[in-house]
Amino acid sequence: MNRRIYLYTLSGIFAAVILTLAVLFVCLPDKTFSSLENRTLQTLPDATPRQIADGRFESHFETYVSDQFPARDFWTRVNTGVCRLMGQTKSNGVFFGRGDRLVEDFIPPKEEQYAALNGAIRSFAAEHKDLSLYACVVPTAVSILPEALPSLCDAGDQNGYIDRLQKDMTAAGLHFIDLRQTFLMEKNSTSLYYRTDHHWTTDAAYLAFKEYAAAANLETAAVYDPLVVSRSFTGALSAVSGYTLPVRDEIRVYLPRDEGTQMISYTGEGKTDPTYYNIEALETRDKYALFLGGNHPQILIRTSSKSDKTLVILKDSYANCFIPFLGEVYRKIIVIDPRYYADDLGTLLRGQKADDVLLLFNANTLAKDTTLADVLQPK
Amino acid sequence: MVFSSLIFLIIFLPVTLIGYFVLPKRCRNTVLLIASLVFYAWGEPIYVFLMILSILVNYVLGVDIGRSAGARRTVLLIAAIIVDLLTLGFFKYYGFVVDTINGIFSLSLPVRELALPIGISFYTFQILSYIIDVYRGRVEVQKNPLRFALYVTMFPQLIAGPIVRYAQIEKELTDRIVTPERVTRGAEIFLFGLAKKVLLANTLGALFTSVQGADGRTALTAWIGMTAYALQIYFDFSGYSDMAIGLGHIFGFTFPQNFDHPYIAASITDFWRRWHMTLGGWFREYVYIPMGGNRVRPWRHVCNILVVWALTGLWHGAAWNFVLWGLYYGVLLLLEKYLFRKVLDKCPAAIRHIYTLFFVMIGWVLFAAGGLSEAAGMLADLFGRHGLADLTAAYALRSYGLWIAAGILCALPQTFSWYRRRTHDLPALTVLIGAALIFLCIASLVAGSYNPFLYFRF
Repeated sequence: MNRRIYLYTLSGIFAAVILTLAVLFVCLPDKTFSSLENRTLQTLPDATPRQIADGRFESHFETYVSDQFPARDFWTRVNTGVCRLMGQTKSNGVFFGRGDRLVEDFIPPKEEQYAALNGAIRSFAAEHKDLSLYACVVPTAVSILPEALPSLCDAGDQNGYIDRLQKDMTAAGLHFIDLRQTFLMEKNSTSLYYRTDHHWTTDAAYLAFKEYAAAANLETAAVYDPLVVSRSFTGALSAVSGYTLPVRDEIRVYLPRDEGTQMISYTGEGKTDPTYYNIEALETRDKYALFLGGNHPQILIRTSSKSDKTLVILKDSYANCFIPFLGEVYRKIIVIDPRYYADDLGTLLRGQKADDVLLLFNANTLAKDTTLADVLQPK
Repeated sequence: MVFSSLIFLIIFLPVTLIGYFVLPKRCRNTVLLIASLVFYAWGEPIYVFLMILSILVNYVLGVDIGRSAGARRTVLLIAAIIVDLLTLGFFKYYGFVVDTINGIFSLSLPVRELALPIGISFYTFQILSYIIDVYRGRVEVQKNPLRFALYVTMFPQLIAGPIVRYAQIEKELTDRIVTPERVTRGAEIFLFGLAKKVLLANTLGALFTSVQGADGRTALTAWIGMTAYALQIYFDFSGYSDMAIGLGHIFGFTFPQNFDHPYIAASITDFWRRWHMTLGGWFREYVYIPMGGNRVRPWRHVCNILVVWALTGLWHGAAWNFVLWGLYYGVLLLLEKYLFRKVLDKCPAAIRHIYTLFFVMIGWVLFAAGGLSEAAGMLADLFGRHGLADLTAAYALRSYGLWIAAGILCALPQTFSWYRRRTHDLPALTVLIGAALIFLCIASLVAGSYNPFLYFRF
């Protein structure tokens, strides 16, 4: 008798859950965007005979069902909670760290990939002996904050990677700026990395700028007033891993007391802007796009600096909050993101009469990247 | 479409069930056939026509074999077998055969990349069982094309088994009893199968994938990875079989058991009585026994076993590591039969279990590898090429130790008999557990894009 009660109740619950979800799925209006995942969601796909025959309709429709599933974010959170209860502390390459912090793992590059970059840097340095070349490979939280990593964690050896780059780049003739000493000293007094995002903070970028200025003999006199512009930033690591933290991040900008002027032109986009900051980004999820409005293939910045030097900076998104500090010390700055840049770098360096070249990347991006080697390789 | 997908659970299944139980009883076969064709066409919008063609050809040949006598009957049988095996061979083994010939003779014959039609290995074997049994007079000819088509296409077992022999559901195709007890029992089996696949197999699969891709594995990491794989492939496949059997009950069909707790086996022979039982049964019935089985001289018997096991390996995939995997089991079974059965019988149970699990795990190394060199690499790692243990192994245990423990627990029959007893004396507790599984499965399916089904290659 009990067994029958069990079977009937369980089957009843099963049927009820499925039917409720089916009815909700059909009745609830479709959403077009998931803020948790930061991507557009699949809406009802077109059913043309061609799309049905080649399977595109079917696969889009399955994505449609999972994307528009009732209470999708709730189910995802339940699942992350269960996985954490079972002891998992990593999701999509992101560690759920101690003290409310998400930390991206470091994945070492393949040997061929490393060799390609190293070779490109050597030939680039040999060809441009007349320029001052600087490289700054920024360590990320995985090597600066090991105490935030979960116990028994097997994170990739980022320190070893930076050591190796430092040795090879110095041998090639670049000035290597190693931030690790400074960051390890400052990490207890300064918040160097966002808790929910893979970027460094403006505070960390300012420390790096001071190191760079010292290494490049640039005179700096500017005094900055940090200003909090957002207290509700939930960054990309949270979206990638699905982990939600009980905290939000704060974004700060450093405003110079003696404000210079600058004009920022986004090359090829026909857009100019008198500030480094794109305030509208603070209303969106991707709040780090506050700095220079995110990534662009090429940016030309003209400033009112007393200096008359020109800098070409090859960079990833870490540089976006670093570049405003350069306005004091360079008259002209050309910013190149090798991931989106297709022109010839040598021509650009000659045409713009560059004095200094800076490579500024975080170690994680650089280890994954293959585009910098292409851009540096003389054509 | 797979059972462990959201579209199946909240769209296909409710629509099919409502159609099946709301429409008049005489429409049930038609509803099920239409549902099955939609189910198959969803994943194979083109190859569904190949399957329909296959059904038509074999229906006609079956009817003809039934009507004929003497030599004509045998000719028709051979024609049917050739047509079916050529179809299977063309789609599944063409590339493999050309590659092998190119390798042996250093040629470069062009290989045309053909996508493997889902489930073709399963439904071809089902069709062959019907044709051969009609020829042998074991079953009646199915004159109703709709029922024959339903036998071949029935969606619960269409793409991943169990391999149902025609004789096993012959009666139910015409007349079957659907009771509330049976439907609810079917729902329970389906739910457990879903949980095996979604919660255990997918999670342990993620662990195995990370171990498989790692460099410099220590022995402990390699063993953790292979344990994860052994559990993954068991829960993946047996979970899928359970879902099929559960759905079968809901629609009134009795499908044969496919797994009987294989990891508690006390010998390799015992393991194969418990693993993928319907495939083993098929080969025994249609290949091994017709070749003379074990009622022949020992050397013939050895040949028979090796042929059957090479074919079993080849059935699992068109690559040499699968053939090797099959032969590996053939040799082990022969050794057990002719050499150390007596020694084995005298060993303590613990030794027999360790022996069995060890060789099964080595078998999975061959099975899981993308090729022979990858298998050799994993074997070397298992025996400590890169040292015994390191932090990676510790982290894997910390992250997946509880999942592995849950997997081992669910591989034991005691766990299920304990649960079954509690359904009698503590129904509230078991309902709670079952309901929790429903929610966890949905959460995991929504959260995971990670939902590959391993047996699709076959």
